[in-house]
Amino acid sequence: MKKIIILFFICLSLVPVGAVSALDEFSNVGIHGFISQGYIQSNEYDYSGIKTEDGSFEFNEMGINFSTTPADGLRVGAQIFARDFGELGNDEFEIDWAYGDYRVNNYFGVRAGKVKIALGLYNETRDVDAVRTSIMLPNAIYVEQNRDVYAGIKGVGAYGELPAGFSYQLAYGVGGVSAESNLLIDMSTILEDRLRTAIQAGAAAAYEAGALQLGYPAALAAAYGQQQGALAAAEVQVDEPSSATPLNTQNASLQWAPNFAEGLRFSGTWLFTEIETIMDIRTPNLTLTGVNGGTTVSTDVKVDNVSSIVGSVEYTRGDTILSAEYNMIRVDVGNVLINGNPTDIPTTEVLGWAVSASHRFTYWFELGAYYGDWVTNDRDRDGSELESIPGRYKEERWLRDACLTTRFDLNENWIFKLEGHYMNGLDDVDWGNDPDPDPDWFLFASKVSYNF
Amino acid sequence: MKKILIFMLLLCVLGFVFVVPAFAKVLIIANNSVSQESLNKEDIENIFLGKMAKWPDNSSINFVTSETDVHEEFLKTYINRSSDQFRNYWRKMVFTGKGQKPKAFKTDEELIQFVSETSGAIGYVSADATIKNVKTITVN
Repeated sequence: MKKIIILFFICLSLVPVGAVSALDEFSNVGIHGFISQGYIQSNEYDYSGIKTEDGSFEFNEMGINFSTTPADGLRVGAQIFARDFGELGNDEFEIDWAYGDYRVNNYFGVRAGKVKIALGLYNETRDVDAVRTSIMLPNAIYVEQNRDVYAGIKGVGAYGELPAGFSYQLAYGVGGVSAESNLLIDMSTILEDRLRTAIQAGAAAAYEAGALQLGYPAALAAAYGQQQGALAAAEVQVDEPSSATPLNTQNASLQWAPNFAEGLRFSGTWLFTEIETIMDIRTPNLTLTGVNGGTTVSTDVKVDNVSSIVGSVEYTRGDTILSAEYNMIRVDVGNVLINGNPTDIPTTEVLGWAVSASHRFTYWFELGAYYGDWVTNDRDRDGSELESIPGRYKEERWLRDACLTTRFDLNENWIFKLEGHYMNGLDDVDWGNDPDPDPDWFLFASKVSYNF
Repeated sequence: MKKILIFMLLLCVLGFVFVVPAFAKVLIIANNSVSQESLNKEDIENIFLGKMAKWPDNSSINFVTSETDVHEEFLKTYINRSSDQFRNYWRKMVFTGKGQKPKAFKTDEELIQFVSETSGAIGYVSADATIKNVKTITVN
């Protein structure tokens, strides 16, 4: 099936664009699509689940959509989409969006089906290479590994234009998620960290008290407690989620393009979602004679609240576009029941910001640049807490990305892009067996895309 | 000094009278069913960006674009976007399901004919096009 669809895309790219447009004009059915193929390589290490150190072509996306207006004010349509992003996507087709849209008046319209999530300025179009200058959007705002959480909502929504340049979108339903989402993988690391600390302290106190009851001298009892506490902590292990199920999801967006300042627009967007995951959690067996190995139990972990807030501003003047965005993600796990004991996991705040600029010099050439900064736990910005865990590095706590990008429009349908990234940080980086990973590294990407 | 000031003032007045406003190079036309006689620049921008979808009587707006030389002038004057930016805007709408790309016509005649036959339609042609069976919209 996958091969048939890919072949279909290749055939479509060979069909003259006019033929598709003609169908559009005469049947009132719009058919549009895009396909892109990229190449990505880093000077060292693998990035974001892609084998970038060796160079990889597992870096593509494609989509095709159909839409029509069967009645006055009513529009229906659907888009199927597939991507390959290293370990993610693997060219499996999915319904990207599919909904009916009824515009009641200029102020109010309703949608039902699967709609795109409005988050920041570019989340809704993140998969469409043709609509932006750069190949990759700033990871500080648009985390590739979290795309499944931010792609769409199945449910109902409302939207409209308001006076004074305001517009809004609301959506309510069930979101998406995959067990490979970075958000959940990061959460399992945080959970392990918190559990280890709590169990170490609890075991140390319990064994010290036991030794004192048996008549050991205080210093010896304390040392025994510490030893058993360390053994208990070493048994703690939280695996990455084996499954994840999305629950209730809500999305709101408010945009303002003030009439007095042409080209300026402000955007505030918010997403709330609940996710249920299953993780294998290993905890120590605490016996009367000391720590005796550990037991792994498959545990339900309900993520009470993943909320994302993105504030953005964009200014367009002539052929120049400037933008700045700020992203805050809060992950609240709440209580996790471990061996029957409720264990409270503190809220984690993930922060990112990015600034970007682009300019179109001629019909065929555009130049752009951006800088993004991403921290996976605001309470540990310098990574010192992370570094205290054996085998972990403080630079895993962040990723700073300086990107210079070029876009060449070969014609209205074909686009070629080249870009380079200077990176600082090790979040989402696989450094293999390097005992002293270098936090400064480079990434190169190129992509050719076709759209009609 | 006084004569120089009067001369400069006269020049300004003559300039105001004889400089052809950019609006005049493009004519906005609509189907005769459209009750509006005039629109402001902001309305025109909102219509061609798909933000304003209904006329004041709540009938649907059906806007169309041109592929003639007047297209670039129209976008510059009313939409504050280059043709690349306008195309990109509609790509975003199309690939998120928020809108259907507007119909585009290769000649003024074809566009005028479509607007004349389609209820709620609005479009633009060059100022020297022969207008028939459609109404001209005044821009405030």
